[in-house]
Amino acid sequence: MSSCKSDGNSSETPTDKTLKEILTQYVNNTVRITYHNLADASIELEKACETLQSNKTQTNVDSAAHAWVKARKYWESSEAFLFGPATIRGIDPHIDSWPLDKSQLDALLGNATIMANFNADYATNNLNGGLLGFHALEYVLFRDGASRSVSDISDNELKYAVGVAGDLKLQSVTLEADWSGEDNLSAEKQSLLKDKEVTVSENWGDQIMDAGESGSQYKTQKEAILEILQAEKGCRGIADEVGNTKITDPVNSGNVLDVESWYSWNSKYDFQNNIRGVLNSCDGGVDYDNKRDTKLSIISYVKSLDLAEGTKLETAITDAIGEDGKTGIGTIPYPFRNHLNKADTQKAIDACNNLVDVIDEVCVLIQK
Amino acid sequence: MRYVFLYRNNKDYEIMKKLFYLLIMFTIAGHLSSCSDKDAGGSPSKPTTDSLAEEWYTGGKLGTSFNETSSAYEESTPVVNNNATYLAEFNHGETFFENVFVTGGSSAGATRTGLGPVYVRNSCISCHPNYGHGKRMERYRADDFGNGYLLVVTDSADNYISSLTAMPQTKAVAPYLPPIEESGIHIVWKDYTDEFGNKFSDGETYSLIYPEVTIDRDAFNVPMPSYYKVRLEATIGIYGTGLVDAIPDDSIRAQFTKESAYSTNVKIGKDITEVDGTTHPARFTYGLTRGTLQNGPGANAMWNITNVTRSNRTYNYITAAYATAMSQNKDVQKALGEDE
Repeated sequence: MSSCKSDGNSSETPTDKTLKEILTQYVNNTVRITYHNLADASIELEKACETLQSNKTQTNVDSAAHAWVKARKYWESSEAFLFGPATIRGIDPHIDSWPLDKSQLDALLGNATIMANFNADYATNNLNGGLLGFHALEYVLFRDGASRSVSDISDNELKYAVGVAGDLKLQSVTLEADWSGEDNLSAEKQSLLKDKEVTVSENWGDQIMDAGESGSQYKTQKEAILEILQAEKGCRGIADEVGNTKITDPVNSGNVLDVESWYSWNSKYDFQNNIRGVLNSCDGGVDYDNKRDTKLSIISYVKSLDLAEGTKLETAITDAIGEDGKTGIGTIPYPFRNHLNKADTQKAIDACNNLVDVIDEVCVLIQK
Repeated sequence: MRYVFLYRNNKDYEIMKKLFYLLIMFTIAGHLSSCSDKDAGGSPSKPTTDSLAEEWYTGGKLGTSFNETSSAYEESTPVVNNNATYLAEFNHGETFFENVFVTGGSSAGATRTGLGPVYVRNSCISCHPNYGHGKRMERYRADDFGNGYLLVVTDSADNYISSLTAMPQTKAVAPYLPPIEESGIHIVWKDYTDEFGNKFSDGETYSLIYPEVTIDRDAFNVPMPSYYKVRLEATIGIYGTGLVDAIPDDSIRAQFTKESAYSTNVKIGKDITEVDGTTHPARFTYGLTRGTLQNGPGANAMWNITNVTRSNRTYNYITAAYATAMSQNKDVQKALGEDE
């Protein structure tokens, strides 16, 4: 994996500089900000669950459900860059597995010995993906696409939710630390990692930004760009997964249990946020807080190589999202769980596959 | 200073037939390319697939993909990509490999249900992160991501203890108990000095470590003999399996014949009869007990690990001793609603 630079090539070309700016923009204004917001939202979610536990009101259920949706948006958009820490640490299956293991959950909630001392530490160290993360919390907080009736939620379920939310917070803060460096976290987050003995040894943001330089595992800047675009845990991978697994599998089986986020009916937004993560990755950052700079985007870079191909990539992404409801995922009637058929989903599947094909074309172009 | 782990490797890493069969014939062109002028200035000299000599296609033109990303080992190859049916099967198989299995119950009917009643892991990816090998662990917990260890519990003659399965389970769906309680498993990493004093001829030193594993007697929920010993096996990566599968039987047999001239103990390529009655040269598992990916136990690890049954495999991976122990455990029977 070592770099192969010639000793005589010390001058920086404009292309090198541009790519470094693009990679820096990507790291700071797509990945780091998303994980920062995810961590903050997860902290809010844990607090909302704690508030609900201490004061069981419908308003507090609604607040916790709202906090779940907020955190969920950041997580789903982050699935466009699962390569690196989220994959290496196994955080993706840890916090986002479905279906929920309802039988084991029932057994857990019915176990007085375990529930007497259930907390986030127990969840982190003893439970697995089928009982953790977003879909475990979704089960406690939602039914039929709305926040659950407070009278239906048991005390043990709330205790469980607080523990699972605490584990989700830890995983989210860990991701932020892995990409931004532990020293760049708030004191509260640093304290959490220290308390939970989480070791952060690498700064993945620096790995990407320093591509082609000593110390980075990416021996060229283009290799880093390709990681972002082409990786199974990058843009191509999530576009493929949305079209050919997340949508196709439940359509083929006709089983609502195969649908991601079916308690909250958040599935369609999950899918769109997945592809919005692709847009954030390719178009120079997230589209809020004035963070996006399209001049420093992968799309602009691709356009500099081939204007038509760059435009094609841009169009393929926005078509797949379908903000106006006329294309791609936007055409799936709400809620997805009630429309598990080809007629209602084929445009979305086709748009995702088109995006995969366009990314493949772009990757060939970049490698020439 | 270099560190080397001493493991006895996993002998039973076969996963799912289709996933294996369709997956993983690949090469990383960039890693094989030498430094050249084209490498300067951050511009890679990666060859494009339409301009390569045949030698670049390690897995053949339809079996070699060109991908330098961190998830390259997970990619499908052209033979899959060019066929919509294969690609759909690949994607479906990928979900089986990368996602967790759950118990079922009120989730019955969903994919990836049926976990248990006892199980080794709830997912393939748990032991094979990035489709590779497991990580070094300081403890044995089935739910620790990347723990690719399997327990090998044997008698003094290295025979598996008959009351345990060859891959002993440490997880159970309530009210059942696991054959081995994880809290009673202890791993201690120790230093090892080899016959060279851990020093290369040029004076550079290195360190060797190995795991010492013990299991408390009271951690077993099945009857155990007076003597038993424990070792760890560690998973290996599953990439490359397709390449091994692609070697024609005759080529392996020819190599077996050639090597047998020098040794009577050659196992690779020796013909074995599989459970379906067909004969093939042995090529899979450390014990060289499988000739194809499709046949017999070779396709069973996934089902052993999760203990998920299927229409043509309607039994659980448990021993009679375990079943008897659970049938005689009053707490388990009470929880199941059975009287004495």
